[in-house]
Order: sequence, then structure tokens, then C-alpha cells
Amino acid sequence: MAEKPHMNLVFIGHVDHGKSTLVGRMLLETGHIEQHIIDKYREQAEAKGKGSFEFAWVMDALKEERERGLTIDVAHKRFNSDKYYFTIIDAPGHRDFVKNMITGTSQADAAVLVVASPEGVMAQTKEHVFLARTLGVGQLIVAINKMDATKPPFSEERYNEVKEETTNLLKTVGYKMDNVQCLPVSAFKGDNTVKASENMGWYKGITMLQALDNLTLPEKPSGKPLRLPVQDVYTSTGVGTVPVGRVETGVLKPDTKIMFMPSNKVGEVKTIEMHHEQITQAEPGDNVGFNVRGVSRNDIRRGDVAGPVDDPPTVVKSFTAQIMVLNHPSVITAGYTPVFHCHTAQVACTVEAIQKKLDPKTGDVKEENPDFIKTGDAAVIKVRPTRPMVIERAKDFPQLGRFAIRDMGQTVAAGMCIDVEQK
Amino acid sequence: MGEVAITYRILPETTDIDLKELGDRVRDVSEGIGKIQGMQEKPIAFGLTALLIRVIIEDKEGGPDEIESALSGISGVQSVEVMDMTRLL
Ligand SMILES: Nc1nc2c(ncn2[C@@H]2O[C@H](COP(=O)(O)OP(=O)(O)OP(=O)(O)O)[C@@H](O)[C@H]2O)c(=O)[nH]1
Ligand SMILES: [Mg+2]
Repeated sequence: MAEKPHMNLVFIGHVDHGKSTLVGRMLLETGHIEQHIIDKYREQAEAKGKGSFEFAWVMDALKEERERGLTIDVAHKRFNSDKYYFTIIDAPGHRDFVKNMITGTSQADAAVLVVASPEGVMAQTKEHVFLARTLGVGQLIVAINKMDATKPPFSEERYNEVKEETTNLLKTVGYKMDNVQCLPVSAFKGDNTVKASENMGWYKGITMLQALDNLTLPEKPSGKPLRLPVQDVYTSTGVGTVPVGRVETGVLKPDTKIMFMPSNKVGEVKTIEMHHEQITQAEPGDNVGFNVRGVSRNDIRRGDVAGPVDDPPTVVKSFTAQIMVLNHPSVITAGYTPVFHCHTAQVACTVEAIQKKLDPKTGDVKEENPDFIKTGDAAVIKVRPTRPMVIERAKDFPQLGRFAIRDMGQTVAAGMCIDVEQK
Repeated sequence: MGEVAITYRILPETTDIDLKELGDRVRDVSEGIGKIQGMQEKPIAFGLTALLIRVIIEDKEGGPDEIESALSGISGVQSVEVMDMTRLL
């Protein structure tokens, strides 16, 4: 049988809202935890005189399983639905990992936002929603969890309150509700995860597993123009200049001319290798090295982006961005010049103007031209790089339009480019 | 607090660098910062081979900064790239 289509699924949400428990529940109920592990825990619990099967054992079993060590290739939990196979990314909670989410990891195809119904939207819920949007994750499942723990349990009223609160937040950052599925679950008890819940007769919608099957596979960005951020440049005797990097969009082919920006150098791709083997073309996600004629090692550098000569990467004079301040000790005002980490580039950029402050509750503009913004604020700003830099509109190239802002050894903010003024 | 597993791709400065020795230096500097849970040589192109490592660190303030600056500071290392990252269950 042909392998099912693959999706990267990122789990996000506030601390303790039940991300791990929901992953564990899905693994168990889709048959992705080995039976002998479950049996072992069942036996142990029975020996201790606890009769019935406890879901908590499953979580212990999963912890123990990972202690035995995972290889580099099997870093992720995976499970299948009818339609897809999923690999799970559980997003780190601390904001100091945001830089790596933005510049490092591969593109997530969909996100599961876990919101505990007794608490509702919390600080990290907001950060993670903003992050998902910045990462270009278009589809979202909102699992309103711990429905067994509302007062009274399985309260429809509470579900609707939390749903509305979450929906408002999602609209603020620009989610279209057509691409969002909200549903009530109890990850711990197993309500509405794989089977419809008997405790929520008022809910007529789909289960978590059905929501996963309803996701659509995002199109591979191979139809877009080539964008390949350069990680490093080598020289190899007899081969010449060899840039190394990951194709983000488009296709890299031998015997084509490409342009490196902002270095503004044109070269001809001769051969492309991946895993030391020659390939006839490199697609999005491929980590490759290739030799180029007409470009010397010192002509180009890390932070350059390769693209077609007739549609080269955009070098900006300035750009407009939507950002969220994650962690700044005081306030950000016009004139602030931190370092922007965008694809493989790190460039000091000046915040020229703070144009709007946004209200995370309603999505409305809270203030035009505010004097300052601080931790927790979302804003639209105008930015001017202190030296030439490639950045694209996130709408066109999500991988090249998102960035983390770093200052004094910390990730201060994250955001995405919404408009560019070309150089 | 939980733990985060990060897979890094370490590129050497040149193709002549001995990756076994580089791997030893990686283990040395990581001691006390994170737990190395896997290491593997990964051929890239034209004789260039990268070192893939999987490090487990705490999900807390500071994040990956300490391990990344330690790895970047190793002699023979050209660059350190995040390939993959997830919390452990
Ligand atoms: N009552 C109830 N408790 C739950 C449910 N889901 C999770 N919990 C409990 O909530 C606590 C946190 O659950 P986790 O799954 O560890 O939450 P998390 O989001 O992964 O937390 P972090 O990884 O620390 O951010 C645990 O004690 C769970 O047993 C649920 O549906 N109902
Ligand atoms: Mg967790």
C-alpha cells in the first residue's frame, strides 16, 4: 500500500493546558503505543491494587520509552489517521526558543492549539498563536480541553465562552475562521478525541480525529520562484565555489543562471549534490550543495539568498512588519536598533516608526502612532536595515518573511514582513 | 519544566577536518549544558560532510543560547544550524 500523505503537526498552547496529554491520547487511541508497554503498566498497577486502567500510566510509559533513547532519525512521535500520517512537533514553552522556531525548523503544515477550558486564553496562548501565524501555519484546530473540569463538568456555556475568546484572538493575528476548527475535548478522559462524547450531548460537531482528517495538504512551494538562503560557502579543488543551503521555495536546476542577493552576483549552476550524490533538481526542503561558475568564494556569503535572474530575491530599503513583543526589559521606541534574524541573515535594523498598536482581544487598532510598545504588545512597525538585506513579504514567501528580533542576548520580539519598499 | 530535543547540523570550516575529533570536542563542550543523545555524520556535497547532533536541554530561560554559543566556539566549526526541534513528551 502506498504511504499516506505526510503532515507536520505542531502542538501549541499555554503551559499545562494539556498538549502532551492530548498527544498521548491520540497515540493511544490510534494504536501507536505498543501493546506490550500498555500491558506492562496495567500489570504493575494491578499489582499495586489499582484495578482499572489509568490513562496516567500511558503518559508514564511514554516518558520511560524516551529514556531509552531515540535516534536522530526518529526524533518525533507519529501517528496515522485514515487519511494522513502525522509527525508531531511539541513547541517549546519558553520564548527563548522562538528564534529557533523561526529560523530553523521545517515548515509546519497545521497546528493544534490546546486551550484548557477552566482557564481560557492565557499569556502563552497569545504568544503561540502569534508564532503559528508568523510561521505561516494556515490551518488550525482549536482543542478546548479539560472539558471534564469545567464547573459544572462538560459545560456548554463555558465551551462557548472560551471558543469566543479564542476566536477573537485568532482574528487579531489574521486567521480566517474558514481554516479554523474549534472542538471540545477531554484529553485525559478521552471525550471527543476519537469517539464522540457521551458527556456532551449538546455538541453535534466532529471529533479531534475527524478534524485531523479534514485538514488539507498545503501545496509544496515548488511552483514559486526559487529562494535558497546561503548557509555557507566552500571551495573545493577542481570543483570551484560551492554554496550550501536549503531550498525554501522553487526548484534549483543545473545549467541555469541564478542571482545571489544582496551581493548582486550572477553565476551558473553546474552540478547539485545531496548526500554526496548528484541530483537533477533540488526541491523545497532539500539540503544541498552546488557548484556555481562565475562566482568566487569571496563574492557571496551566508545571508545571501539565491533566486532566478528574472525574479531575484527582494533587497529592501525598508519594510513594514507586524510584530509581537515577547520580552523587553523596558519599552521599544522609534530609533531602536536590534538585530533581526531572518532566514540565514542577521542584520541590525532600525525601528523607524511605530505605526499602530493592536488590541489582542479584538484585533482593532488600539492606538495610531504610539510613542512606545512593551512586552505583550502587538504592533505594526516600519523598519530600515542598516545594510543591504533580503526579506520578502510573508504572504509571498513565509520562510523568508518571518524573523526574530534579538537584543542583549535575548529574543525580544518576533514578527513577519507585510510590505516592502525595494531598494 | 520539560525538555527540548534539538537537532543541529554542524558544518566544518573545511572538508579536511577530522569529524571524529570534532565529535569529541562537541561532547566535551556540551558537558554540563545539555545531553547529547545522538551523533551522526551526514554527507552533504562535493566531499563536505556535516555532523548531525541531537541535544536535550531544559525548556527554560536562556533556551538554546548557551549550547549554541558553545558549539559555535569549537575550533573547526564553521556554522551551527537548527534542523529540527521539539519538546519531549
Ligand atoms: N481534568 C483534566 N486534566 C487534564 C486534561 N488534560 C490534561 N490534564 C492535566 O493537566 C496537566 C498538564 O497536562 P500536560 O499534558 O502535561 O500539559 P502540557 O500542555 O503538555 O504542559 P507543558 O508541556 O508543561 O506546557 C496534567 O496534570 C494532566 O493530567 C483533561 O482533559 N482533563
Ligand atoms: Mg507537555
